[in-house]
Amino acid sequence: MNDVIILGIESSCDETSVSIVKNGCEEIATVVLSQMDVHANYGGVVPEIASRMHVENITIVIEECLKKANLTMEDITAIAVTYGPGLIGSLLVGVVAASTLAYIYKKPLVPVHHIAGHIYANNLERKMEFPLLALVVSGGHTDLIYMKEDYSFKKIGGTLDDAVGEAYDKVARVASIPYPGGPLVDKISHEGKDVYSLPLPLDDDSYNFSFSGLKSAVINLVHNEEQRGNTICKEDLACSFQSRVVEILTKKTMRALKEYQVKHLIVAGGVAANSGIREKLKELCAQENIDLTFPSMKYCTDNAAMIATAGYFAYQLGRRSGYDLKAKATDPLN
Amino acid sequence: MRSLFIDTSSFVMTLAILEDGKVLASFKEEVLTDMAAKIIPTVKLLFEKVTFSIEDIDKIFVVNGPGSFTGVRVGVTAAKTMAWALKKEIIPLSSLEFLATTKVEKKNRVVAIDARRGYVYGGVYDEDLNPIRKDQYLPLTELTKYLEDGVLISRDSLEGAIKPVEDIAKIVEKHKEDISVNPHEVNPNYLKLTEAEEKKASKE
Repeated sequence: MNDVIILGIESSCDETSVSIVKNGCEEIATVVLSQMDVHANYGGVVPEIASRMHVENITIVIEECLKKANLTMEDITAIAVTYGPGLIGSLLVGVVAASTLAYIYKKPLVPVHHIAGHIYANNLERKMEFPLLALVVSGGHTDLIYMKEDYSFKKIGGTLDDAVGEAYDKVARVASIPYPGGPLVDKISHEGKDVYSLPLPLDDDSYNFSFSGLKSAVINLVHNEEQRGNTICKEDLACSFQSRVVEILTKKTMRALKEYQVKHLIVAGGVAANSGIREKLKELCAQENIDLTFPSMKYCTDNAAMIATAGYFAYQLGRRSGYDLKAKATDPLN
Repeated sequence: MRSLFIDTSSFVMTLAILEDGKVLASFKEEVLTDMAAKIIPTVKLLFEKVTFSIEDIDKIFVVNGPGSFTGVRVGVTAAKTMAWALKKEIIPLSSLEFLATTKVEKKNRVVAIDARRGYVYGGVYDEDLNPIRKDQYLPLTELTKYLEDGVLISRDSLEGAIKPVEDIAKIVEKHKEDISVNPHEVNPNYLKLTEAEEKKASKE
């Protein structure tokens, strides 16, 4: 069988990334140009700045990746690109570059959903076994997805308001923890105690999540303490907040594993790097004999290796797009 | 010399294939949504109308602004990716200069693209497309003095935004000997910082 070599392009948020992956499992080269330092000056991603930087970097990153792989475009079987969801202006740059390359080099163009990418990042390190449950946690997503087989995505639950990463960033802002707040909240939470009374959000029979109430509770707590002239212990606040997030995420995930009789759990997305979630799931999965995989840190954040990997499976299933591929800010995973 | 001309800086997408100063095939239509999804299919269609393929062109001319931020990015991304992939020369052009190709009776072509709140992206060109006042983001009123011997040209109407093929030929002819830019360095010329950058600058 001939090798299938996919060039993936990812530009859905603030990372311009290009990667070349062989047969959906072997990463040949990846280049990620992160804009995080720039957006840090603004306390969050500024969409127009992100779009501008993608245009400036896109061809440089493509060239760098091919050089690093020691390959030429002629060696590439197909081009995979994130078409959504994400920041529309950012997505457009990757989509136009990918369509242009596909046209010039007469290569198939494979559209990839960003979340499919996050899930398939796991396949780079360990072959995914089905059926499986994927917990996707990031700045834009909090989803529980059941997969019977490759590229079959059944969303069994998701966030009704804020994504988990979003809630982390907002809590960080309220507690004056610098950008990017999420990882720092996680870090200092280990130095604190769970002393603050915060609600367990949307503790019901569904598989949905809601973090806006918890976020508001944190905001109210901080304001009330300030008015009383008390200082908030950031470490304790981070610990209490993280404890609730971890509890509800793991509780619903474990219940879903039981109900769907699934023995494999994968965790994907930027918040998969969160140590609280990692530790708790490790503990619970060991108890229940569930096979748990997390991608390495480098595959948790946005990268094109995951897009090229998901792109391989989409390519094998015959998924193709014309050069009229539309970028979409939102789109269901299917 | 064979070339491809790309302008997606307004609500009209203008694409043209030229050979030795003549437009062989062109597309000039209002595209209100999904310009990004239309650019490559349209380029492909245009090359089906001529006897040579995109690999046979010598240069790519791309309008890199000012104008719609998103629109400019679509054209520039396509153009720089093509130029990089095909190892072709690429020459960025001003959207204001392109507007200034319009035939008028007076000396100055006072060109302005609405940038809201009384501001425009504006410039002044003579009939040979030499700049009299460089492209800038400025209050429209600052351009009025040039109107004594000039005509205001905008592209707010569809009529103004769809350019005759002679105008495409004119600007390409004017810049055919320009030094090519490294495709990596061809970027939009927005003439304006993002709002976030402006706010930050005003605080500092």
